[in-house]
Order: sequence, then structure tokens, then C-alpha cells
Amino acid sequence: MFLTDLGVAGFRNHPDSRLSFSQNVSIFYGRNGQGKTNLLDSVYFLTLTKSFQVSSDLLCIRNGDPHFTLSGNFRSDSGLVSEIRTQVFRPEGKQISLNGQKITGSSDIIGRFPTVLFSLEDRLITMGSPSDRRKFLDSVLFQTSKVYIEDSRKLKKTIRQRNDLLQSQGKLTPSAIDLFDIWTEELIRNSAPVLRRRLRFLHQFRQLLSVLYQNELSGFEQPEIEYKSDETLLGSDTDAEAWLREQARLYRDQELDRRTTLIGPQRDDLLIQLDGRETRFYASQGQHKLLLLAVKIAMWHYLKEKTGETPIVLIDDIFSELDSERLKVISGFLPALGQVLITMTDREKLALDGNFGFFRIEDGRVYAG
Amino acid sequence: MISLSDHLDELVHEFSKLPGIGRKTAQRLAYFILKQPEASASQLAESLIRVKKNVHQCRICGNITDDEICRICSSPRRNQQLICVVEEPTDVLAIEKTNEYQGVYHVLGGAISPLDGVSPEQLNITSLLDRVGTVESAEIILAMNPDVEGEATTLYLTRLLKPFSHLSVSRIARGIPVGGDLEYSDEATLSRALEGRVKI
Ligand SMILES: [Zn+2]
Repeated sequence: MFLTDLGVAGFRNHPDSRLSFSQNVSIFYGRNGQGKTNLLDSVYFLTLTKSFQVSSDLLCIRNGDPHFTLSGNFRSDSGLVSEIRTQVFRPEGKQISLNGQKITGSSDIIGRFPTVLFSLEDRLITMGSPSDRRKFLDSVLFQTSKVYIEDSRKLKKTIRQRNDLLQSQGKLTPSAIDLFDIWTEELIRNSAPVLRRRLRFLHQFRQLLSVLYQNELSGFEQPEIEYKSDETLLGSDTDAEAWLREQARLYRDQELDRRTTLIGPQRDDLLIQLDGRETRFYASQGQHKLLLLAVKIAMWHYLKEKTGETPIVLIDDIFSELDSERLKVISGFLPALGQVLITMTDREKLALDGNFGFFRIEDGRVYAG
Repeated sequence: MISLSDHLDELVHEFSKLPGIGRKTAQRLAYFILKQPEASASQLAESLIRVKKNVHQCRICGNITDDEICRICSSPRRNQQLICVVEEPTDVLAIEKTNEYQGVYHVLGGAISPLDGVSPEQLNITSLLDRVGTVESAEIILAMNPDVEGEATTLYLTRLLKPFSHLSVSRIARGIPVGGDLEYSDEATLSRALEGRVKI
């Protein structure tokens, strides 16, 4: 996938910016706070229907503007041209159209324009909470499976219903407990496909990760990424439904007692290790950074294989963090990744030869060159 | 904001309580009524009252009707031993449009949803049990929406109906687009789903 033209109006600090891309690697440079990252965010918003910087769409509207409008022209690997147009209005309202047709759900866009973001926030994958790691899982799987998006939504709704049933009652009557068992069954049915897809994904992903870390990035250790549920590691051959059913049985009394859902893939975690030691506690800064690069490049490969489309790569500010050795390694990678959009403060930092597009960003305005 | 007329404000307020009607639309509707001749306003008002007075639930199936028993339940051409259980009267209309279904209905009036405060007691479930208790044999088709509330309702009814050995219970097969409500399914999909119903 290749983004050829980008229009950003009323988005964050950009009043009205228009950019055209022709080279594979484009670099947005300029001092901090000028709006480089906002440009990456606008591309992310177009292809994944939300911001990676803020949780509310409304916060993306420029101060004083009634709405923002993003437009992107994309060319697929096979040469098909399509246009996404996204608008968000105050006080509420979001309209997305694909080739002039209004779309009803974001799942009509997500995955058709695969996108991989590299940012400093990636460190949360190794250092952050279980929910950060589940977010990573979802960021890959949402882009490869529309069914997974639907299943996840259903699971979320099921848990809300189940918790509401547990919490809205004074004393739990026998009929409320009957209903609880019905919602447990519904929870198992909606959890199993989510769990199954995650396990299947990891089965493939861990191999990709290992090759990238050791062979391509010359890491010395053996990386390992495993799925952890209730302190148990689940392999790809796990019978998801049987596992969930057993969990439901084990935790039934506790759930009724504590009046909340204690089982399901929305509580699971990933165990990430280097040479059998959990990275979170044992890995050095350098090992973390290398591993995260490997994780994101592996994600790129996975998305490419599953969607049949070369993902667009957004790299936000990670170059300032890398030493010159790693910079050289990743610079060698860049041209092979298809279209890459990079932010950096100093345009000389990436001392590369090659045919790059340069854009200077200053106070929400874009100057080519 | 300055108020021009308390009566008008009241009408706007009433309209804005309707589903899908925001304040702006409510205002537009109220001004529209104001500009209409009095006769058409009266007609609207009377029609509203007539609906509330004369339309009620069918004593047998819970569908809406002007009579005591609805047109479908009282039709001699309908197979009374084939009962399709749905959430809303609009689902009946959707299935009727297929022109394929020859049985009768049972309208629950919603689906189990703790978040919306809907428990089984608020649905037409007791009347369903009474109804199937009086027949010698029947085939029940559960045709709830494919969302989590519809699925939970299906599970609930399945457990409830299981002890009745004279009943054969099935649910409509998937084929309805994921996330889609029954009401919005096109006729072709619905009739396929009805044909492909699976025994549970
Ligand atoms: Zn009836």
C-alpha cells in the first residue's frame, strides 16, 4: 500500500496541510511541537480510524475549528487506487467514506490499509501492564481479521452484561444465578474464538520474531513470546473452549462472591523472554530496544502475509533513542519496508544516501524539501 | 435562550423524547405542526390516541394487533404447530416478507439484557410456556437477533424448553450478517436462515 496524497485540515495543529509522496521513505523534520507527529497521526487515523496520541476523536480537532477533515489517496500493491475521507465534527459525529461511499463500521477500513507504527510507546509491550500487551495483540489481529474485531466487541458486551447482572442485584436470587450461568455460557462461546485466534497468531509470530531478532538484527539471545492465562502458559494446541469451561468452573464461586467476571481472554497476558528470562525484569535497555524493533518488523511481515498488502510504516521519533550502531542496522532495513514515514528533529541524523522525500514542519505547516 | 411560546416549547420537549430525535429535529417538527392547518394536527393527535387505545398485544402470541387475537394467530391457513419465537413485532414483519413461512409466531417483546434492566420476567416467556403446554406437539424455532442479548435469550429458552419432550426446538442458522439485526436482514438471507435452522 502506498499513500500518494494526504490532506490534513483542522487536525491537531494543522490548519490545512497537503502533501504528495513519491519516494518510499519520507522524512518529516523540524523542532519539537511543530506538528510532525500529528502528520503521522493523521495517516494512522485514516487507516485505523482513530488517533494513536489521544483517546478521544474530538481532541484531534484543532482549537477553534468546528471539525477536521483528513483525506488520503492510496495505491494498493496491485495498482488499485482508493480514497479515504474522514471527518469528525463538534460536538459529536464522525463520518468516514471510502471511494465516496459512506461506511458504517470502522471494520470496513481497518485491515484494508495495513499500518505499522513504531513509537517510543512500544516499550509498553515489554515494560507495561498486561493490558498494554493485549493492546498489541489486538493492534495486529484487528488488522488481519474482521471476525476478530466482531468477536472482541461481542466479548466486551458479554462481560458488561454479565458484570451488570452480578452488580445490580442486592442478594443473588436463584433465578439471578440461573441467569449468571447463561451469561457464563455466552462468555465461553464468545471468548473461545478470541482466544483461539490469539493462540494461532502467536504460533506463527514467535517464529517470525526469532528469525528477525537473531538473524536480521543480530541479537545474541533467543527471544520467546508465549500466551499466559491465569498463570498458565497456553500452547497453540490448547482446546480453547475446554480451557475456558474449566476456568468458569474453578472461579464460579469467587465470581459470585466478588460480583465480577474473573475469567476470559480480556485478562490474559503475554510472557516475553530472552534466553528464558523475562525481559521486563532482566533485559538491558539495549536488548529491549532491539527486541521491540524485532517485534514491530515481525508485525510488518505478519500483516503483509495475512492481508496480501505491504503495510505502511510510521516511525515516530525513535531515532533519537538509538545509538549509531542500531541506527545503521535499521537504516539498512528501511528501503525494504515499502512506504515509510519518519519523524525526526534533525534531518541529518539519518545519514543515508538514497532517494528520500523531505518535509520541514513548522507551526502546523508543511514545506517540501 | 428566549422562549416564544410555552406551548411550543412543550411540544418540542415531547418530540425530543422520541427515539432518534434530537433537539433540532424536534424544533423543526414542532414548527411544521404549527404551520399545518388545524385539521391535520387534529388528525395526528387522534391517530396517536387511537394507537394507544386500540392497538394491543395479541392474547396468544404477543404480537401487536387491533383485535384480541392477531391476524396470523386467527388464520386457518397457518400451521399452529410451528411457532417462531422472535424479539419484536418488526421481526415478524421481516419474516413475513419472505413469504416462505407458514407457521405462527411468539413475540417476546425484547431480549434478556441486564444493562437495560430486562430480565426474563419482563418478556412474554410465561405465555410461551403456557402456550406450548396446551399443544400435543410443536416445533419451536428460536429466531433471536445474533447479538449477545439475543444469544443469551436463545440459551435461556433452550434450557427452559428442554424438559418438554413433545417439543422439537431449533434455532435459525447463522447466515444473518454478523452484527446485523433481524429487522435489517434482506429477505433472501432470512429465508435461507429459516430453511437452514438447526435442531438444538
Ligand atoms: Zn397472535
